[in-house]
Amino acid sequence: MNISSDVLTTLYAQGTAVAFVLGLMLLSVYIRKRERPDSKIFFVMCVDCIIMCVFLSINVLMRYRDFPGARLITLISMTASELTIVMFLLTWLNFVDYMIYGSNDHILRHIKAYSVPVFVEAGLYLINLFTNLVFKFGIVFTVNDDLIYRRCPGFFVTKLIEIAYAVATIAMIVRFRKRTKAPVFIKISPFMIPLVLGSVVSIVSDYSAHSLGIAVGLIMLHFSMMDGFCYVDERYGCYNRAYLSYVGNFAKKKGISGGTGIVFEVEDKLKEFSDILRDEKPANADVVYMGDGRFIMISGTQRKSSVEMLIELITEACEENSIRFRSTYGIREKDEASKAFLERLLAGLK
Amino acid sequence: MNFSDRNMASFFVDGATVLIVIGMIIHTTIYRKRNRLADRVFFEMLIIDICMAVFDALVAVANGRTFKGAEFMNLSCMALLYISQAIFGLLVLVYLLGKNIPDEKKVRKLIPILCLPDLAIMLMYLIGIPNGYFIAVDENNRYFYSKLYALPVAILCAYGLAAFVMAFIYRRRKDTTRYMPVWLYLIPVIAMLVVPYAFKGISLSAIGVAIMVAYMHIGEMNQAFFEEVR
Repeated sequence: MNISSDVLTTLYAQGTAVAFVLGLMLLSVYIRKRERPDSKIFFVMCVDCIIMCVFLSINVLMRYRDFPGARLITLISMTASELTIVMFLLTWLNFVDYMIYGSNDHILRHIKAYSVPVFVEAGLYLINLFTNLVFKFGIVFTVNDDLIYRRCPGFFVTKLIEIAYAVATIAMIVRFRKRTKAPVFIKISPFMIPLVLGSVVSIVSDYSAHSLGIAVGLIMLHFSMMDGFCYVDERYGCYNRAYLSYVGNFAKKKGISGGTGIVFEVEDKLKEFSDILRDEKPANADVVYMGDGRFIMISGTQRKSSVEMLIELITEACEENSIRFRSTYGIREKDEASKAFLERLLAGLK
Repeated sequence: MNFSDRNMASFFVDGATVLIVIGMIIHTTIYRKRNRLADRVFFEMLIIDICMAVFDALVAVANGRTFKGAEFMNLSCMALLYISQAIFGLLVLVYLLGKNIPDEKKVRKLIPILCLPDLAIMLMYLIGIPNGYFIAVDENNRYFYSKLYALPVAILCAYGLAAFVMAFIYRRRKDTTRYMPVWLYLIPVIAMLVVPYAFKGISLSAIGVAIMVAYMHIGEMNQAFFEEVR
């Protein structure tokens, strides 16, 4: 089979992308277990990336081919590959949403708004496929009988939609970072830099490198997220003690003073209690398991009334599940060291 | 620059490799703080992979071109590329030993012995390449392999085989099976070495190694997923 260099290189790029993503899916405990909602969304992103590679490979394999049905295959494959790209961006937006708000309900509340641009783009592509097949002209792109691809005005609309998704996720992360003082383990650069580089290479050269950019982005995103998972207690899904020293150093580095801590002590049903804490906690608070049935909820400085109301909410949820607990809380003073504050909190429980 | 198509493709693949590995270096900083032998070796593997990609790209620049010094550049970069591969083979073995043998002192004692085949390969390339024993260039400055090329490759394969044997020996260790499916690490490297022979011309060894180290790091992170960082 005589394959030209641009086709071969693009195929290698797709193969490399599949190797990266498949390796991630097979090797990563986080993705393989799929116990957490974010790992399920990550898994969907990986599957989407592999499907994208398949269609991009078909696109490139159809270059310079001349047989009956080649145009039809090219049109369908190009439509499908573009749809996988926008689907990927929608999944990425949901992923960022979950990583920031940590709530399925939040995603469900916004999924309709998030999905509207996808439906618009899918509609455009389906109309484009129809007009290409019936009238031999396109609104997004067109492929003539010699399989020469040409962009149409609608193409820029679809790209604007895709850029809007990328900008929306960046805005979501930046806004959250500004609002909260807690460390955020999801970072923009590990994912966006390879994605943008892959897109730039695809635009300026004959090589299609979108999927390679996305695959590398997924790997880098996984790496940066796993840095955060070092601090997660797998049994109860909340942070472990190491997170407390990390957050202490983080606050010192950023010059953050003050804060609120609530300590809880339970004897049994630790998993259920942990779930309740994570459900009831405010968005800017973190739950840490200290061992020996003790949990601590840390957040920025709050009013006493807010803390008491929160404890009341937790008490109500625990009564429904017949869980008994003891609790105490404290507000960190400006000059108080994080270690001294923690000791003060734990002493209050005795 | 007047590249042939295949050399341009190699250049593109090597550029992508360098970017991917730099990203990995940035993201693995947290693990190097643990000061474990395997973590330090992993960092060295990443650096060696960048070297491999750079030498491979330089070979792509010089191969088939006849500017002044192109022949020297082609052969010397080729020698450095294969020496980098040999060092990488050694590092993989040390990494696996570091992961499987809890006593780091024992591993350190083994390193000088493991270095011997590597030194042999280095000497072979440094002496052999200028004399055309392993790789030579034709009148158009296009490289080709000589018959003796199989010798250093055989030594390099011995490192891979040793890694397989180690995977087999330690297969029953619970944490080994959970974190380190070694056979899976070796697949991308072997595939990327074999696939170019089917089409000829585009070197994929550096990107194959990048995929391999990415797999290794995912295994490493699985471990971090379960253990507490203090």
